Amino acid sequence: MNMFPSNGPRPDPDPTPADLADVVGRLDALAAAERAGAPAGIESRIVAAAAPSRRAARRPERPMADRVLATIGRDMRRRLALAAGVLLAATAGVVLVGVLSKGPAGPATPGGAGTATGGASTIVAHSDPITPAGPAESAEVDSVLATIAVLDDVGGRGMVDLLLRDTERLDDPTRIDMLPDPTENTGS
Amino acid sequence: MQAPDSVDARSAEADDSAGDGLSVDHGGSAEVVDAELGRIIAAATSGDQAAWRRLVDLYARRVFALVRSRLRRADLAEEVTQSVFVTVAEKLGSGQYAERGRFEAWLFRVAVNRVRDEARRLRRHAEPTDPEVLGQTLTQRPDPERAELGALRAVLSRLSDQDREIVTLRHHAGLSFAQIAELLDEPLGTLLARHHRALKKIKSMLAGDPAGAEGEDAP
Repeated sequence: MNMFPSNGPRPDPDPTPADLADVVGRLDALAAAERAGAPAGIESRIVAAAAPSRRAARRPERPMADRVLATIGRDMRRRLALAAGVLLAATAGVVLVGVLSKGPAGPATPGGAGTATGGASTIVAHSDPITPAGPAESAEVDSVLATIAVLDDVGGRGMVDLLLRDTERLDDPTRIDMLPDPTENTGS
Repeated sequence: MQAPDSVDARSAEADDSAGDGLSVDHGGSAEVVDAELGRIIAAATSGDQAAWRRLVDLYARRVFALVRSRLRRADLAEEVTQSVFVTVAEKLGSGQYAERGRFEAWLFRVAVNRVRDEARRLRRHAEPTDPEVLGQTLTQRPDPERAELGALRAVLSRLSDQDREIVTLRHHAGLSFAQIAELLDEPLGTLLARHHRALKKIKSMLAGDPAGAEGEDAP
């Protein structure tokens, strides 16, 4: 006996989309009713409820430095920290070597320059040659001025200008020692 | 299982025509073309309050309808709808959502996750009757239209969770099948078949055949 005859109505025919259109229409009507049935003013209450979150989102939570650091990758941060450490250690080493290599300071020349020499460093200290403190210094200034006057006579204005151009050279008492002796015959 | 909130879900290229061939009324919000929606989202993200208000106007009632269809209490539905938009505001503001034309799928994924959480919580407690429904029962004479909608609600509540979710996402939230497929991370064909079966069950139950029901697990 054939249990599944090919002819005759099927007990549960599969409904077509057209058959289900009525159901779809009812569902859409229900959905529209649910949307329309939303409490009045729901949008305003939602906006009010979300306002603190929106304000908080706009406000920067972390300082600028933190945010900049956050943009740098973890590996890069590690490398930067290592480089900073190496730089710090190198600087400390150089300073230490410099301090240890200094010798005792030499005696200062009264009214002139005191020179401390030792190892690799030389420190030169100057007193003020323009404001002499005593008669000895005053006499020294007078001798410098006299030298300039002689130079002016012998070498002309150009030589004095040359000497005055570099005030540091003029301030340096050791340079005065290098000036030509005005009493010496230069042959000019 | 919660659907992920991320927007990097499978691309959904298929359009509405893949569905039942019937248009979906998005009611309560004017249609917005994708380009305009993108501008609104970008403005809302950058702090434009008017744009944010527009976004809420566009979607609040659709989210509410979806939530209400599942939780069946208007007061609770509004509370959950608010929390959905608070989450959206936070994620937009913190840059966790990048607009790539999937805002609706993302928004309703947040809503579906929140509804699932709330439904789970409600199952552990006694289910109160919607005060609105109670008020109607006590004070109003039966309205044929209301009665019909009530019957349809009752039928929906007897569907399985999966079937009800697809039906409400399609009709209450007004999503395309492609968007639903993206949201639920399901193949499009599977969704179409399941939706078709769900419609058949509803038709059968409306005709008075209780055998169409699968789940009595609502909400």
